[in-house]
Amino acid sequence: MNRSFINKDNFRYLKAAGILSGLSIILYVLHQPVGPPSGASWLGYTLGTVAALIMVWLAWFGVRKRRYQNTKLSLNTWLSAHVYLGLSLLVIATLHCGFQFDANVHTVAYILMVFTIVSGIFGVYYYLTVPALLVKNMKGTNPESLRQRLRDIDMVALSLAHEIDSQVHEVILYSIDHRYESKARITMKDVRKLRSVGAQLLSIREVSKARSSEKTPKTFKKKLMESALSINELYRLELSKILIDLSFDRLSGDKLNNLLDFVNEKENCLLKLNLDSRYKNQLKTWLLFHVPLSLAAIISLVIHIVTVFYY
Amino acid sequence: MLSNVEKYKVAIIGSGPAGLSAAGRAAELGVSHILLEGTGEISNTINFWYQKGKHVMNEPEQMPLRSSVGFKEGTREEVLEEWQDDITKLKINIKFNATLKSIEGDVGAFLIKLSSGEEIQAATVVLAIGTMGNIRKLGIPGEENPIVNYKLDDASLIKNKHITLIGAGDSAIEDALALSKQNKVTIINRRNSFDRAKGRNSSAILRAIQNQEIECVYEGAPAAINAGLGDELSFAAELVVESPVGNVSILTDKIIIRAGAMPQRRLLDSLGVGFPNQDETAFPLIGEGYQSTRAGLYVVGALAGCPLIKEAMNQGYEVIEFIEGRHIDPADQELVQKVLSDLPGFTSVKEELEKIRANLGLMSDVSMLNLREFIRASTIKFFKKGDVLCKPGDYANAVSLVLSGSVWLSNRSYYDANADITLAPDQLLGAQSLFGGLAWSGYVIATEDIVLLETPFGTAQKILSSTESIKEKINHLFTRRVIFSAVISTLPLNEIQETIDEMDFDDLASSTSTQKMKAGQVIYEENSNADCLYLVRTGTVAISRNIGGKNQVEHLISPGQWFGVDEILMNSRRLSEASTTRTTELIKIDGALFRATIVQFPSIEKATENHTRDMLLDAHKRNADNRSSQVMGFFHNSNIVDGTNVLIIDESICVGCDNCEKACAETHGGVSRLNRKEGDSFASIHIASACRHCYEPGCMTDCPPDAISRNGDGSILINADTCIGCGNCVTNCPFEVVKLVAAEPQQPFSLFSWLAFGKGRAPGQEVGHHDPKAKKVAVKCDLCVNQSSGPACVQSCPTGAAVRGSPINLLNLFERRSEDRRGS
Repeated sequence: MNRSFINKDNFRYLKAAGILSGLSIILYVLHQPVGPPSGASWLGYTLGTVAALIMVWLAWFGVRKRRYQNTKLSLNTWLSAHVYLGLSLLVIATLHCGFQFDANVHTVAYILMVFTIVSGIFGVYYYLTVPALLVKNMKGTNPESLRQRLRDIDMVALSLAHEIDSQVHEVILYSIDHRYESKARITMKDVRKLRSVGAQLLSIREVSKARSSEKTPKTFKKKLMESALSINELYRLELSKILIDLSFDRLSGDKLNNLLDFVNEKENCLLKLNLDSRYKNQLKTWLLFHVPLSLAAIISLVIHIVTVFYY
Repeated sequence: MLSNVEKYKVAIIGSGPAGLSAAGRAAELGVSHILLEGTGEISNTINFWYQKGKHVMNEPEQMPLRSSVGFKEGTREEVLEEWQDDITKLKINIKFNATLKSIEGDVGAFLIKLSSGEEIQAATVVLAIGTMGNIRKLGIPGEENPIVNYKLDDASLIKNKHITLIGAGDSAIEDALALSKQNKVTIINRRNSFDRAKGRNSSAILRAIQNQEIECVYEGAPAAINAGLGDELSFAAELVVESPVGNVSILTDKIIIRAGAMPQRRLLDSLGVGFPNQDETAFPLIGEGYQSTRAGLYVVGALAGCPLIKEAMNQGYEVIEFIEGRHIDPADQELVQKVLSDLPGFTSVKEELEKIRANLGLMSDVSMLNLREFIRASTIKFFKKGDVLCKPGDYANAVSLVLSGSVWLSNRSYYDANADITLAPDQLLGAQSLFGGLAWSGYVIATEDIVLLETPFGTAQKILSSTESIKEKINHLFTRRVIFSAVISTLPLNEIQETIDEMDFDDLASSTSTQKMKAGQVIYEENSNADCLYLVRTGTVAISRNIGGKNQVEHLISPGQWFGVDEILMNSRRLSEASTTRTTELIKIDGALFRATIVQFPSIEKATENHTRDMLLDAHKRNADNRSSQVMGFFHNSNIVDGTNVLIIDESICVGCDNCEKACAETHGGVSRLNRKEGDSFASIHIASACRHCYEPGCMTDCPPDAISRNGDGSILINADTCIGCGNCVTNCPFEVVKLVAAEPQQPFSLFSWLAFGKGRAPGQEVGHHDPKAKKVAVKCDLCVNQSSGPACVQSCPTGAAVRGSPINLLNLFERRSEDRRGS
């Protein structure tokens, strides 16, 4: 029950696909064709027919998935069979062609089929691993409440910054304008830009600027030096540093602490949301390859069959 | 002296539906009559108390209208206009501003004295004064201020004001909710809860208070109203309220007092109208032809316990017929006869009704009026000897009275004369579903040809709980059935060695007491003395133990199950704590008597003891597994246990494809009835927002057309044809899974043209609704009753993440899955 479609009905479809592949191998080994093994022998035709039927049936999954009325077998069962029979195709189709590859439509059909299956293997991998990662990443929260929290943080941080002074206010405004969900991924360019914004604001405040370099806690500098820092952490540290520099001499420690907490929390939320959408994309992108490839494979299959019988 | 007194054959007091209809019939027949109305306009209740434009319904729909005065469903204004026309047309002799003071004399020569000093003589008097009576005033200084009102005409006309409502009943709540849309509203509640109001209203007002849409002063007693400064800038008045925290001053523009109506008992007592008891809510005693205990004085309409307009009008017509000496059958005669004429050997309605009252102990105390209503809604059904009436796991969706013949409960699906388990001949089937939301525990088989009277739940519940004595009988019956079912469910029926008769548990059932508890109350504590066991009638109980200073829930007990039995069998102190998770009704069973009863059945006794051992073992296994106890705790806290069939998504394998929602929309006219993303989560268990098919469905509590019912398999269904779209179920559902939709017909869907050309709609695409005036109906999960393959959401989940089932089964499933995971 646990591993979704993998062990459905006690690995029934793995067994079926295994038997099918095993039988093909045994026949292939025992078979003594006239000439080299190829699709032209009786076994070649048999394996070819089986493989073609499986391919059509696999493609039918796209139709079955969208039929919701009075379905006999659950989609879960269908997916299990889809995965294992799809994999068995690697064996059956390869034996069907007798390892004869060339620069022709037949090999194109084969390659498209293999690509489709490989993209499917990615899908299986993502389906099996990503959901658990999604849960782990969210851990007790969900994207919607994170988004709400982001909005709250922005609002509270802004009003807090407003109480401190206009430059701090400006930094927070800048971060609100530049740090939001759909721009959760950042580059070194963003960090440099932030640094220049900070420097500009500091330059307005001559006195602070003079003190800023000494007053910056050493740990920050040290951390900034460390190459192991991710770009997000770097950005966060840079932002914190600017805020500290700007408000060091005009703010009680707990207010500053609060502000820094907000900055940290916001970056954490963004990281989580970023990861969430990355995982969700992983669950979808492979299909962008799998579906067109499968259609191409089916079309090339038809061409393959027509050419074989035509010539 | 009497020479200048007006003389009439009939004097009718009150020009509401009943009185007006009586006067109309009298006028039509040319009977000398007078209709006395206390106010200046007809039908004070509808004219004055109904909000403008209120929709007046003509329930019960199938009942014919028998009146000389017309009445059709429509707005308050249309109804009143029709009556006004009929008064002119029929030349009804009506006297306005004629307030009744007293009635003297006897039948044939009553002397009616009015407040104005006028006197009227009449041979008979028809009292149709309704129950609205005089409204209750507060009697505090400043109440005469013009900003004080006792009703609300049209909430939509009042905007941006601060309005204060006084009262905690239905009308106060309805006004507050209507006004809060455009105004700031404060409600003053004399007590600390709203439970006097209908469930729908009380939950709506509590929600509004919680969302800070309405402010509430609890335990507040208005003390005075002080006029404001009178300029445009300040408030019109100040209301001083005494509250537990001291005097509160509320600045307000308008005060609406909804403190209810004064009972008219004093007036009626002075008129010599007899009552069954001293209860202020009691209705007068009424004999044949609506005659009260004072000869010649008749009572009809709401005062006769008949609050529906159409029925009241029928009574008005009939009372004149009776006064004229014609004994006509009630208006529903045909409807009742239609049902009863199916009975073998049918003679007449009257005889059959009397036979039912005489033969069925349960119905002997039901009034004729109620019995007729009961029969009207029912159907007669026949079963042959050996027919299976119910299967294990079935839910009854109606109650059935056994009119003749008898039934057995058995573990077999066929009739066997040697069946060893016997249901008591209680003549009522389905009570356990009606009152406890429980399914059948065995097969019910006809042991001879039987005749059943099947009645839908709505009507049955209303009538069977209207009379105190019937309620008691049914309670006993239900208790005995629940005990019996719990006992025989301790082991498979075919392993029971003894002959067991439900009646063996009659004494035990009689000795029980019921206990109503609020959510979160402790029933018993760990290590306390154990002298009784409990059966859950409604609600849920959590059994927990204190482990390492933390209270850990070990078991959840649902309706129909018992708990606290282990200690009785082992003669020990309480091994765990029991507390309620929500409002719960318990049946308390004496421990000693229970032991004495089950000792008669060795196999049951042994099974119960084995069960206890298993439970103990299980509990220790759970203790060793902290996570599983956390899952249990989540099930407990999220109220999943309220449901009989819950949709859960296993997020550790959900790929978020939304095929569940698409499947739901595609199979339900383009509107998905589930929301995958919404809902509570714990670890990887996510309760999707979808109907849980509760044991006690909130949606069902207040459905005017009775359109929501429990299906045979336990699912709760809304009948789209009879749903009137009132939205009560939407408000009453605590899980917010019922919605009102006016879906446009779904476009036909072609997978080929969508896939190949991108034409037409996508599969599972939701239908929008554009017409705001279109009729809306309530929809929610119907468990895909029409699909042989079961719920489409579950069936369409590619990874098997979506599962539906009873909370206990799901709990087991997730425990198994988490064990698997640890193993792998």
